[in-house]
Amino acid sequence: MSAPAIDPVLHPPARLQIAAALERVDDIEFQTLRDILEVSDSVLSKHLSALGDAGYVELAKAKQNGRQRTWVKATKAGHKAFIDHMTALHELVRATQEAALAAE
Amino acid sequence: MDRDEALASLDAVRNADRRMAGRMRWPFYRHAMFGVSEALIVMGIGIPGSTGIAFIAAGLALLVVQFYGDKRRDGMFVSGYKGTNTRRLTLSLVLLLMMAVGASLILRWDHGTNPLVVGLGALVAIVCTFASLWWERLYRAELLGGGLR
Repeated sequence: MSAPAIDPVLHPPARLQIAAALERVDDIEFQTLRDILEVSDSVLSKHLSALGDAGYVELAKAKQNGRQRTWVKATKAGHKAFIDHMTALHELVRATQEAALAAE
Repeated sequence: MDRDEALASLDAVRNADRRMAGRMRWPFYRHAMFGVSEALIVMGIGIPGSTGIAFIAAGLALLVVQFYGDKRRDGMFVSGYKGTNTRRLTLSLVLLLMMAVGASLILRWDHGTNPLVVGLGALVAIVCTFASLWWERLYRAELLGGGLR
């Protein structure tokens, strides 16, 4: 079995932060996610669209207090991609630290 | 990607977790509602007839109220199974609740309400309320300590 690799979809920091936030909740409302990550509506929409195209997030519309709200949740593929990406990041840091120590 | 980029990415995740931790605060009444809903279900199982059914229905309805209340108040829903230590706590609580349900069945009278069932319900309410408070603290600690990766 090969080691997890860096996922290009999750490479942009904002997208990784979205994936991290989704990992901590069952689902989250668009505006709440925007406020937590301190990004604009358009930036969040753009990244959610990219994550949705990759099959990593699901969007659902629901009425609340007479207003249409968008709810976001990670898919199983999104969950796995995030875990793999984080494992790859930790592995990369560990490997470079070991290489640096070996070179000393 | 090089080491610095990887470290920057990990920092970005830690920042997101810190911000999430700032949001992961539920009011005391929410924890108490959880305790009461579980107590109603446990008591409902130990009380015969329509009263018992009404208790169970009220407990389940209260769980639904909590689900939608969380979403409306916080803009998110977090189940008890998120996290690592938090999941262990949830599973332990499920085990305890199953034991409480078993005890409630044993204490159940054919007619009327065994006062011990009410006592058991009160105990369940207290334990579940404090377990819920503990769960919140554990979850925030995991978010702040990076224990969720």
